[in-house]
Amino acid sequence: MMKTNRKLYENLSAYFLLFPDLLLLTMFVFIPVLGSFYLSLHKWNGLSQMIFVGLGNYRRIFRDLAWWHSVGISFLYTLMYVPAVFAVALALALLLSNLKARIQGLFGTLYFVPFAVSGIVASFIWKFLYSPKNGYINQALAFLGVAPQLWLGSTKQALISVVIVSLWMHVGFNMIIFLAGILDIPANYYEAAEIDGARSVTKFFRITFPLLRNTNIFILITSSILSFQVFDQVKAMTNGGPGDATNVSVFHIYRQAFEMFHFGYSASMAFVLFMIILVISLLQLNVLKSSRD
Amino acid sequence: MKSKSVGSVLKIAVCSAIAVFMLVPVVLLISSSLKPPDQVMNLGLFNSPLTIESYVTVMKEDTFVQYMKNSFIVAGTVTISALLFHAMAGYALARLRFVGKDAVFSWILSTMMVPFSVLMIPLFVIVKIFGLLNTLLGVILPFIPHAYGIFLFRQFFLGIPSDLEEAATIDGASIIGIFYRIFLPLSKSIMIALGASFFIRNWNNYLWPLVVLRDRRLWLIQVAIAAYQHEYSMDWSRVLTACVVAITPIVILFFIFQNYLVEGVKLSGIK
Repeated sequence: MMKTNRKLYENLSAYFLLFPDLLLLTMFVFIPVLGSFYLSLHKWNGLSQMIFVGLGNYRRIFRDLAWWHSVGISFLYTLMYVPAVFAVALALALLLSNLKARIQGLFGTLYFVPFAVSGIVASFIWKFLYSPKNGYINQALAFLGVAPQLWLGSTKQALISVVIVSLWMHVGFNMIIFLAGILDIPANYYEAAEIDGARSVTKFFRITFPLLRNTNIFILITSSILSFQVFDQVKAMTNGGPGDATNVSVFHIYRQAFEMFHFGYSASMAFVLFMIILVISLLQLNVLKSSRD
Repeated sequence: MKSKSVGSVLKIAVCSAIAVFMLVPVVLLISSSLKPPDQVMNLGLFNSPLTIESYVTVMKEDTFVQYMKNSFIVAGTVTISALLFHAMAGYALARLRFVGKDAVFSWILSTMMVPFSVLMIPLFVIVKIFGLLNTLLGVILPFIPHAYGIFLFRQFFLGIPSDLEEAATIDGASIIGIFYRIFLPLSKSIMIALGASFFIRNWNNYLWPLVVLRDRRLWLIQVAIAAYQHEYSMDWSRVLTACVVAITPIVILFFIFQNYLVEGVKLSGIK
């Protein structure tokens, strides 16, 4: 009798404690995911009656060149951002890993400072630095004898200019994760390699990099997801332009939904984007996991 | 030995150069905001007289103070509710036995996969149905639930030895009492780490407040600054000064809690 009471009491307490979060997750994540699929099967401008169109929106997406162009730009952005953030963060972590703990902490904090800066503020700082007429970057280039560049105003340079801002914002964050991973590797692995006369490059490729496998996977996947989500920098620096040079997918969806009021159609684009991100994450996970020796 | 010390001096030099590169944008932001408004495009750090003229202009605008206040309300409310709710949920998942525990836990984790861009449009509809469009509550509520926060609290509570809890149970303490009097006080470090990062994330958030808030009086600081570029057609002095004011609370928070924040980031790498 006591025992069943105790069990019931524990069950009730558990669900009492879980209740607020379960309710909020249901209302603001679970139902919206289902709702997103539901909306994607309708034509709706946010005001009038919803019209059921079945898979019509998806058929339309298939032929929508503007949409696929924006997906292409997101891919291009990801292909520039992810390898760069990975390589730079790893290089910085390696550089710091042999220094004394106090110096490591100091530089770690300094590299981490841009993490505190919002996407909007970062965008304006860099937009100011990129100013084509006599911004700091063009002045610095002039000092080196390089002609001034258009940066955000050029269809060729705009996307990479946005990538540079994102790199500046996130590299310190990723560096800290790499550094924690590197410092977790037991010192005796390196000692054994040194006895065998291994050089630093060998040590990196034979010990550090393979043992960082979980960190590598984590950084690659989170950075890829993040780069498909980029919005603030695009909205504040280029507004998708010039032309549609920086019209990344989330920005395209935002405009279709909240400027053109194509709610049903943009919900279906968001759903397709979700599938693309999911497939890329799973691919990365499988390829990298199976590369284990 | 000697070559080693030369090597580390070289390393420190490289690290310093990179640190300068990381900090230069912030330094130029601050130095530009302290120049007379008509000399912002005069490049260089100390070639203009220092003035707080642009700060006076920005702070005089009473709506600017309102934007900061709104951001404080939103980021503060999300942070406090999220810490309390996630600690409760994490405690239940880590220390209690109940029917459906594994299913609940996997369901919570599965919500982590969903990117915000997918939720944005249906969330807008839901918030509209509840009549929360154009309210701060409409910005706040959807940003409280956070599977990753629940997960980190669970991991933290799993690591606490069970003796304390057993002693308290024998003394007849209730489950909620044990959570409130024993576990909550023990979780100070993770509370600070997560609290600081929730506050920063919500202070810096832009897309969702942009979608929900139409009325200017309700704008958050990020939405307001972003709108400046149309309103003052890139009056750099004003925009940059507003940026400095907007990041000041976060930078203070950052330097007070930097160690906790770094620990929090390290946690996120462990999987």
